[in-house]
Amino acid sequence: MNNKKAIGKIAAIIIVVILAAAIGGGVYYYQYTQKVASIKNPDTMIEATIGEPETLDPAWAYDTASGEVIFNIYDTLIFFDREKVDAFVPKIAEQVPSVANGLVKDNGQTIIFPIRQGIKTHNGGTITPEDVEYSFERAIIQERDGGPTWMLLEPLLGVEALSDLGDLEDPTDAANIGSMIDSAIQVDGNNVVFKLAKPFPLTTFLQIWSQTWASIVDKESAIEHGAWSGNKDNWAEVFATYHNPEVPELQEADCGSGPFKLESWTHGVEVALVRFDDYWAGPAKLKRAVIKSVDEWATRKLMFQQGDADIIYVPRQNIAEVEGLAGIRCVKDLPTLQLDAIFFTFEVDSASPYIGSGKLDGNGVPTDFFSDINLRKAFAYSFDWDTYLEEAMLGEAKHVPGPIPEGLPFFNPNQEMYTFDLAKAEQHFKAAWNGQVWEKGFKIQLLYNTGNLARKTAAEVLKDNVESLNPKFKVEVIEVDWPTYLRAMVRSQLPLYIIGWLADFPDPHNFVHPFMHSNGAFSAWQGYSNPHVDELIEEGISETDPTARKNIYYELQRIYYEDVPSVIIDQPLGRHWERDWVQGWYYNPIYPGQYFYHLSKGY
Amino acid sequence: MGSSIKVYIARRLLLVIPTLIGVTLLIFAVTQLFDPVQRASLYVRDPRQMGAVNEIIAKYGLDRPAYMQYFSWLNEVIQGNLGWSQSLHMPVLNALLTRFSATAELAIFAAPITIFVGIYLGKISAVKKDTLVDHATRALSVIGWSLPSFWLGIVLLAFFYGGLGIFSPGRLSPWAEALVRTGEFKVYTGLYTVDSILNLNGAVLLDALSHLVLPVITLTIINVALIMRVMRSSMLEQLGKTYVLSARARGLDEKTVINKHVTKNALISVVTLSGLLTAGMLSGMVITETIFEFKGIGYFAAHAATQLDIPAVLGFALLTGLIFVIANLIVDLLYAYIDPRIRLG
Amino acid sequence: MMSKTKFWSAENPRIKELVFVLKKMRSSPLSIVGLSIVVFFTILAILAPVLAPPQTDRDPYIMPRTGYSPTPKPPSSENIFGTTEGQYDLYYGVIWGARAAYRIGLLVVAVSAIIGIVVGGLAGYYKGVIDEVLMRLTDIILAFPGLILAMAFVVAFGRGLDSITLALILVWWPSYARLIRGEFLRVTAEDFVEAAKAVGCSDLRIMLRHVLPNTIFPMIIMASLDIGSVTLTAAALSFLGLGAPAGYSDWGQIISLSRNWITGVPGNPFAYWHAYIIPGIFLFLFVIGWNLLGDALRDILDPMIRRR
Repeated sequence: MNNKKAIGKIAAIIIVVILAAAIGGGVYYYQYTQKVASIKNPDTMIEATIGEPETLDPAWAYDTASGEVIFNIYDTLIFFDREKVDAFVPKIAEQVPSVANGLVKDNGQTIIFPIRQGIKTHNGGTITPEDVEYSFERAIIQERDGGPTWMLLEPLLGVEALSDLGDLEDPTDAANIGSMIDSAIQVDGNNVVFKLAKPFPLTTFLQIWSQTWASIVDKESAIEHGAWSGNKDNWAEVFATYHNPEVPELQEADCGSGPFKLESWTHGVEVALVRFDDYWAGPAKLKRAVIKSVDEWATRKLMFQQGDADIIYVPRQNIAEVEGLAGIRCVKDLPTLQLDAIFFTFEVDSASPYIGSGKLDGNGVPTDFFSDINLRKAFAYSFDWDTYLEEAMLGEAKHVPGPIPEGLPFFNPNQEMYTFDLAKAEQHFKAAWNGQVWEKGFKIQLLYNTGNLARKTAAEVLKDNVESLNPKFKVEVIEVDWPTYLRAMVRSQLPLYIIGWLADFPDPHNFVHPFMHSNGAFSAWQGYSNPHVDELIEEGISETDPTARKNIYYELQRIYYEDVPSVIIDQPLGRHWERDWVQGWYYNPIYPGQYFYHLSKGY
Repeated sequence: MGSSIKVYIARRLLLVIPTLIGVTLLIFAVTQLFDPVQRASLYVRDPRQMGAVNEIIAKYGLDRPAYMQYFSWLNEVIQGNLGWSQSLHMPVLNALLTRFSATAELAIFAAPITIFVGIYLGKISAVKKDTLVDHATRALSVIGWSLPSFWLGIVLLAFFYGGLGIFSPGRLSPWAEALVRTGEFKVYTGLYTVDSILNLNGAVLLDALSHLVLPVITLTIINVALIMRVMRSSMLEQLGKTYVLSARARGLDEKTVINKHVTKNALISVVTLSGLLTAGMLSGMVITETIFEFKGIGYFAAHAATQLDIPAVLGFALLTGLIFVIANLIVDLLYAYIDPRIRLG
Repeated sequence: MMSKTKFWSAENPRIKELVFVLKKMRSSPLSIVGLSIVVFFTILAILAPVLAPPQTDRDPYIMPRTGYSPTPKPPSSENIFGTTEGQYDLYYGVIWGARAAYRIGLLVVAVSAIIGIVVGGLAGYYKGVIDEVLMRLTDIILAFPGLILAMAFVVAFGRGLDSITLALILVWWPSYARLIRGEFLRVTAEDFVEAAKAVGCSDLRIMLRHVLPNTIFPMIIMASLDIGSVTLTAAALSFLGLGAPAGYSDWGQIISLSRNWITGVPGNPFAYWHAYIIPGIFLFLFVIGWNLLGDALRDILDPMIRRR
């Protein structure tokens, strides 16, 4: 009896489950092809992306996630004119300084910003020229390790770090440096005057001054959060207290005047912004903007599909999953200011675990393997750009000669570049190290950093082609985590590696320096040093005449091709994905994220 | 409560300290596998910052000897400062407190449901041993146990949220989140279900509950087998005992025999496991938290560990160690309650 | 004194036991299912090089690939199970995945069991201070967040199944230690152990010849259930990016590669079904098989239930 009842119960449950599944399945298919009927959350823009901000302190922030929040809640003196990277509109400043309007003098070494009156801050104050002076001085004083302040120091004081000017702990040096900072940034009536240490291209200066590290901070509000008081009596003490802190004072603070206020920051989950109704240029259309950290692609995609996210980040490999989705809009072929390249280390650390035997015996490579230009050229000719760009980048990347990306001034479209040519590759391999490379072969390890599918594929494309030339060539592709990867790079242990560079500011100097200068972010660790190149780079950033600059950068691109310290494998093209009810979006490659002021929702 | 019980509890709680010290020492030992440059990678996230590596190592004292680092950390902890979490960009203590509520809310619903469903299934499976009910229950629960949790989670999300448009990820819908942010909705405990009752807001309560449905279902499907099988074998063990025979012989009806005596005795073994399960859930469930956007301490511990954020990991270990010890204590107290023959101490 | 009966004769109590087990299994459909699945996967793992010949001079666990595109391709004549993200051949992957599953499953369980036997045995036999110390140690390891350990090892020793195998062993042994300790405590209270001691047998002899064989059954049950758990945990670690590197024939890793494709394309939510269903079925069946087997063994071997 019991069994029969039980069977009956189970049968009933099974039938119900099957029915539910059938109905569910039907609705499922139906929903998949339907548009979401009405606009969800009509006055709130929701962006779902990966990663999260590190800080809200403009002097500290160097990552794009932090930058995205900061450039919405703070204003800068001037800003990029919508899509353009080399034209500007005034913001906190009343005018964009130029030679024509007399605000740029002394061969570009004095730049004057008249300050707009009556700009209100989120905390009930107003922006004055003293706030502007304070913002820059505070940023320079903070100068945290690995931070963006060097971009302010270069034009203003002619150095990359304050320590280049003296010892901050020594009272005399400190006072000296302090007075240098003081005189570089001065208030003159209603103006703020910047005095540069040496000639610097104006456009480049304005570009740097349009970004988050040049944000204008309300002094009173900052002081309330524990920042420097502005007191210049004892510079040694100022540096001792505020230089290079472990945690920045404005970590979670909003001392800005921008179109949005910080409503809340739930670490690792979301940043919520709310409209600042008293914004000097008029209130934004959106009432709210929320930037959510959603690391899981499947979840993010579903949110987009259901309209719970208006803008999302789509990794390149998943494009096929969203293309054709109802109710969305995609803008493609957006030129980015990023280059990925294969880097060669000229002198590898002898303790490196990635060079095998360390000798040219077929089981490893010697530490100076890549100092032979034939090898660098051989590897360059072995990279199959067509396959890589088509299959790994789905056709959405460009092959450029480098090291300047397309879209920046002084990019040479006619510069000769390396192409996939196995015959030439073989030729160079045979010539390398007097034929020994071809004869004995080699074994080398090529590392890539976890989480980057494109770089992994590039490594494998290179490996397959190099190995196809000679059975004695062995290239091992290894995946490592960032801690190990960083260590290997810092110790110059990687004979070759693939990594990318994203522009700090949209000027060629920001690319030639890391790729070619003997102190550059990459070239220093590679051990590439060409004094003529160093000279050219230093000239380029001190030259105010555009024609002269063009010649310099064209020459640098030529030398890059000839010396081949690294090989550019692509300049990616980006895409922007949004629901079709999003209005007002435009593309500026240097923006760290969405600029919500111009956005709205509607049809 | 008798004073001997109080003493017992106090003694057990004091035992937390050596356990925590043991766990944190172990973690510190493990961190010695990394050299200062690798540890600096927590602060240097991009090649453009590479030049600052040596300064960073000096600044944060990453190359100090291990015992010094441990003692200075311990010193700070005693003073109530768990340090700064670089991977979460906030003080460790704040991170643990604010994020624990998400995990707790999930565990508070998932654990009891899993346990009760498991007990029920175990019971009917044992009572109806070797029948279709028994086979079906065992098969279904083993199927649940054998599914990869992330696979199940994504499939459920795709079906219900993607397909039917219900049960969205996250803890609350955007309109409810806006209420919380503006302060119209006051947060007391961080558990939205509890807080909505305290705020007398039925709409938010429903919203919070609807967001719990999918993750709780996922967790239940996967973990129910754990409880079910122990309950089942425990019941079977009891059913073989002589007291059952004699109760039946005395004429007690089957229902009373089962419900009053057998089940109660069988529960003893289940109690330990339930305690472990709950403790495990409270310690964070990374995968569920990631997929359903319920970011609690599981997610953050994983996030911190991959970036070698040692203070955050240590703080997390302190919390989970504490949870574990308290769970064990509660389990032992329950033992004593259920079976008066078991004496504590 | 053990009688001098021949080992394989029907009189040997151990053989009697084996026969009893097999007979009991025959009567339970679920047990048969479990056993058959386990046998199937064992054969699959052994025959892997025959069924899916590895490429020369590459690690045989790395799946061969037919291109670089990230989009998985459905089953075709070239790839009978289709390809997964990065164009790795799924057929090869799931076959060698059986080997990988056994490798990590057996290794973790076997080594954990051995460590557990040593630690738990010593604690349960000698009791007293040794027991206290060893159990405190076990407690500490149990309270230790295993995920953290796995992550630390992966960063320190490099990505791969070896790192997580080591991490899993280090966090898995305490449950065996506890189990064995409990069993040893129970058995050493029995008379025959007292007798052996009185006769003058050395501790080691008593532990190995008298106590251990009587505590083996619960451990066998736990081990067979754990093989499935280890495989699932390794899959979860792959999901978190800690397991085998992409392209390695590990079911968990292959499913992890497919996680971005579960939602399909607009208009066809099942467009990439093969990428997650096929390896999912293999993983799932493997785990179920071992679980059913373990459950069956428990039903049969557990002295409290079996003679009914």
